[in-house]
Amino acid sequence: MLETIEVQEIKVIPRDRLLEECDALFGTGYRLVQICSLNIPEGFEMNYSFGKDFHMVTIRFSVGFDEAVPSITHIWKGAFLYENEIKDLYGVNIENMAVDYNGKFYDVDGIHPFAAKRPESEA
Amino acid sequence: MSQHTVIPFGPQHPVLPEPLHFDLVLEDETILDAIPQIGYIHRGLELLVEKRDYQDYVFVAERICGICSFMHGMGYCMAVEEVMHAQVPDRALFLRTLWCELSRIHSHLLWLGLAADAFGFENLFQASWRERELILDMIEETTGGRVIFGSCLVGGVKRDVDADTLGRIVKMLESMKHDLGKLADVFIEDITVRHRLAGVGVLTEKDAYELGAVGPMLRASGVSYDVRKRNYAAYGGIDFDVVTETGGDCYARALVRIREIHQSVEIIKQVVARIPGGDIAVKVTGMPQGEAFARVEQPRGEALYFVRGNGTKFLERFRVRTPTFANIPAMISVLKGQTLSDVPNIILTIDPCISCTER
Repeated sequence: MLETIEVQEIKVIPRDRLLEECDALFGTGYRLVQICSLNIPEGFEMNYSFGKDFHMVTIRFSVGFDEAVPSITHIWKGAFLYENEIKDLYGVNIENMAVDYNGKFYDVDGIHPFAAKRPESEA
Repeated sequence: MSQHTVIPFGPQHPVLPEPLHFDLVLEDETILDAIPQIGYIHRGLELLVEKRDYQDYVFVAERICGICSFMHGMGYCMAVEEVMHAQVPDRALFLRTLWCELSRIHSHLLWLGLAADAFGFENLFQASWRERELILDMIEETTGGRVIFGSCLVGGVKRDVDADTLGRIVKMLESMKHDLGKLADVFIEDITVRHRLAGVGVLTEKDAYELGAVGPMLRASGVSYDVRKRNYAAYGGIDFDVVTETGGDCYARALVRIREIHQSVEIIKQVVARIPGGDIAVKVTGMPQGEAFARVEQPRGEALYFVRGNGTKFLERFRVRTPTFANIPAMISVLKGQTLSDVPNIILTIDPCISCTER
């Protein structure tokens, strides 16, 4: 086979283990590749991808609409851009960002334009 | 007592080909901070995936950007093919590699021209773009389009390229070598170019790696990382070395791009020599169920694609992490401490693509 398939390594963790996992990855030389959010019925699914050489691992957890996600900017400084993006587009509550643009990073119409409509009981 | 001044840089600025916006915080002429803002041309293309058939969405993905259009389409296809377990024929993989490398040459020549224009070297700008036109002609001849190729699809490619045309492309590239060499000599040797680029906007190897820089921005700081070495498309059958420089400054970033132009010419020659016969696509049927990541090395660096299908013809999520977005933290870090007059050069040397960033 000519083409090498990308290894899809996804690790599902509880939200409160995020920083612990990130510390371990940083310590072994991984760097942040991306952070991505998805709408799920109970809130948001968060995906953090990290790369070292050509290996990529993605950490995944879910978070409720109003639950807070700890920032990882004290581990990877460059994470502030992804965190501001997710905060602006989805309205995910990310705490303790090293650089917080306070909702002004994305100058787009509407508040949290990528967020799905919340169930009425949550709104 | 020092006084801070905030100067908006962009979205409209003579040196910017696209509407990038920074608020620059200055003390006298020195930059203390750069605050980015995006959204000026934000199109929400990631959300559009929920309303377009996954096979048709290739053409939307291609329109994320007019310079790396083919690679965006290909990256999306690679992720969907992974979900659908589609085995793309080898000939299609070689054709994809050909178009990727033509895109890389045209993108780097475009950048060289823009950089020359930014530091006031008009005839160098025109010389760079004259060479780029020849590459665009090759792209037009093989795909029918100059900017949007429309030649990639889930399962392969839409168009074949016959042996005569492939041979003509190699001859044309050989005949361009002399002029490309002359162009490179000016960028490498000219005192004006060196004056504007050397020692300006230095990004250390450690910062480049930890801040998540990609592409020439990363490789110019000495980090040998090029996703093509992961062997997607036909790169597993091609011999090439990762181009790196160690200066970390604007000049090193220019050198990486110049060397990559020559490298892409050699890669295309290998593609033409080694391309096998056979089909150019497999028929992909059914609805995507599952998820996958794919990565490609665009001219500006690593781009990441994520798709998730739910068994319907509409994907649930499509995510693109573009190289310019990944380079913004490094760019902000580099801008701090520089003078206002160097901002255009520094920003240009990351080769920002705002269409990509504001996908």
